[in-house]
Amino acid sequence: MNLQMDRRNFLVTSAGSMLVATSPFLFSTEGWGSNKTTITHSKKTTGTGLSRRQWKTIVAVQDHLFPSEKNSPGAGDVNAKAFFYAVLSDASRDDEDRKLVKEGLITLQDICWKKYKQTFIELKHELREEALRAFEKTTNGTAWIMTVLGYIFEALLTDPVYGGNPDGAGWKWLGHQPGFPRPTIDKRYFLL
Amino acid sequence: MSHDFDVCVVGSGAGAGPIIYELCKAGYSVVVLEKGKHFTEKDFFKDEMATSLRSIYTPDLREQQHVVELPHGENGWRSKPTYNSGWDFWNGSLVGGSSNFMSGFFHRLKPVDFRQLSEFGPVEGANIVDWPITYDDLEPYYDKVEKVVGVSGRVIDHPHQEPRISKDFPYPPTQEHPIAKHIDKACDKLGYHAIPMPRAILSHSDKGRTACSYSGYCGSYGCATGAKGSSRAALIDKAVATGNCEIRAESMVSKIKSDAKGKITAVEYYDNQGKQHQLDAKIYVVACQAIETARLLLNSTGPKHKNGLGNNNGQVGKNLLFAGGGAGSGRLTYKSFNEKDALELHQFGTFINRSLQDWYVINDKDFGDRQKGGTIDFVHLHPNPVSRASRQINGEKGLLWGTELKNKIHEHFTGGKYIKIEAFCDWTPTDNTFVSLDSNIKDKWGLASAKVRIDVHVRNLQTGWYLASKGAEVLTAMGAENVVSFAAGAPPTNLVAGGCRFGDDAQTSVLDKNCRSHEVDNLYVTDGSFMPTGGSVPYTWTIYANSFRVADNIINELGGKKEKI
Repeated sequence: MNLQMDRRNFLVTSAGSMLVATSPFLFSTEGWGSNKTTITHSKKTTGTGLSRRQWKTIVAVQDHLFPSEKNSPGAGDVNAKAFFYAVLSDASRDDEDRKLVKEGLITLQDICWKKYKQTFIELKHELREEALRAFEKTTNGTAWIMTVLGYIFEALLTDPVYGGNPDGAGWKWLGHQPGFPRPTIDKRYFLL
Repeated sequence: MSHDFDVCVVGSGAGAGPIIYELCKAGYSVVVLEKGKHFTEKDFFKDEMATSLRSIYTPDLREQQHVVELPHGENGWRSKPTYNSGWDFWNGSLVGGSSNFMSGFFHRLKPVDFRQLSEFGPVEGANIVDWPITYDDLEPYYDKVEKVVGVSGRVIDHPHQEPRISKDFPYPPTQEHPIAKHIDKACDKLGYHAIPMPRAILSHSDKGRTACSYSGYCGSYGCATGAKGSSRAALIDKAVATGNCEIRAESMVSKIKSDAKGKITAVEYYDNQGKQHQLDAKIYVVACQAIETARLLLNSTGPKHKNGLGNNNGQVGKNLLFAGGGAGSGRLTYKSFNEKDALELHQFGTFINRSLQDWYVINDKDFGDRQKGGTIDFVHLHPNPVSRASRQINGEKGLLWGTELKNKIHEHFTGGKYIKIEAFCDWTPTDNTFVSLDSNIKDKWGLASAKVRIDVHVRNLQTGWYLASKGAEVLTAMGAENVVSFAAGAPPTNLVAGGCRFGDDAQTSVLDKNCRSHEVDNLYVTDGSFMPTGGSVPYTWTIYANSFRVADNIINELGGKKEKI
């Protein structure tokens, strides 16, 4: 049995892999939250395998999928980029997970270039929507978008101790009551 | 002959806790070999990352996995390692096992569960049998669990109440959510008997444990107050305090060794550095949860046990049980209620605590002959916010995103209070739900993984539909919207039993009626593996009660309680 291939099939057909977060990452937020926090999600990190330009594309996709609006926080308000960066730079994750994210970005860029002769970042809102809908129909597109959205939700709704959800912005928006006791900095999951 | 310990217990969950507690209290030395870490209340937080998104209390599937085998084509089977399948059969590898994460919905079995074959006759394609003990044999131990582990509740007079020697529970009910009164009212109208659900949760501080704090995050979370009656909080901590108990956490038992006469000589295990050790004891108790218990026995071959320990009749791993049943949900939309009721419904943290057992035996000509039914529990929607948001992604024509998705999520969280139905019926035991070994898929210690074949008997689905629709009827009568109900064909992997049936016939069962191996004098199995049929309730209370019963037998075998010096 080709386990590596089976793993790939599983990931793209189920979007079942919620990747684990790690990596020190410094960021600040304004607007919905005011924390300045260092995200430290694990003891050992690695490169994400994505270029600076590709990270810019991810941020643009995140903003499109979960936009910041007057009455509700968006991906940019809850540190979704830093959160996703921490996820992908976790050294304990399978390289296959990082590879699939990268391949999805390449497919999306291919669609943009073939249809509009522009990169995703250069497209106006309506064309970004059109490109993402076309991407959704590709073999791995749905799983890729679900993965990106999944980590936006984590940045939005997990405890602020993990670097997202500044000042509980996501919880406040949804009237969500967290449970107690809440995790402390020295009792985050990867330290237990 | 001297031994390292009087008793060696493999595992530390609900099937192990009473043995550890009772034997230590009786003055015997007990060593507990637990694969997972030793967490305490100080390590438990309401952290969705730890419990659900990163699953730190269960093994990394890359290092330890199972193989699931499902029907494929006309008569075939297809197997798949769980790392690549979305399945996960682990429920909690830590001291106290998965009892740390239970919701503590505690129902006893009823007398009819002990004699299903006699009472209802055979079911085609199923291996229904009577138990070798009766409800009366187990009742004193159900009672003991109420007092020792701590069960809160309120006994009311209703037609489906099983016999009990104590008039009421030792702890009053935990605080109830206002939804409970809506359920009571709807059931009164329908002529059903809503009953308070007993919980393995302390409603007031006692036994050195603090009362429930009503944080709203109970099931799948470790309890930070100690109110939840986990095997660790309620029993093992007390056993350790006797000075007779040694917990060896992060110790993975790889094999139970046996001699030319077939008797166990030692247990072999790995510590967290990968170093191998072994120890011996007078008596060995295995309680690793049904699938891993069967796996350990199957992996423990010896001169007299070529097919695995206690498996010369080929019965180890057979007749594995999950829980059959159905599910459903509905929403009490705030704007459909008056201001006072809507405000009450917003309450968070208290429990619904309502069940129906009106169809524990179904006597409905439209459904067929008189037959076994089950229990319906009404519960809150699990509060994990990432999980709730993630379920809103799918739209009618594809994925949702942008403002449309955000509006849907907002409405989901703020528009009303969701109620879920969990309907439990027997998982019908068959020849095609069992545990074997897969030598192609090994764990990080090089041991063959357990392969779990699963086939759902149609009876599970029929009964699940029936019960779930009754629950949905109640939700509708309450004024709930978007009511749905369905039978759940996929097995709940957190509700597992069977695989080492107890019985009087040594050819068709693994254990005798005291849960001792028919073939090995110094081997007991005390998790849910012993159950030949599951009953129509969650298993934990019965596992606790049976383990207390077996503990009494082991103490007698060892010569009774030791005098204090």
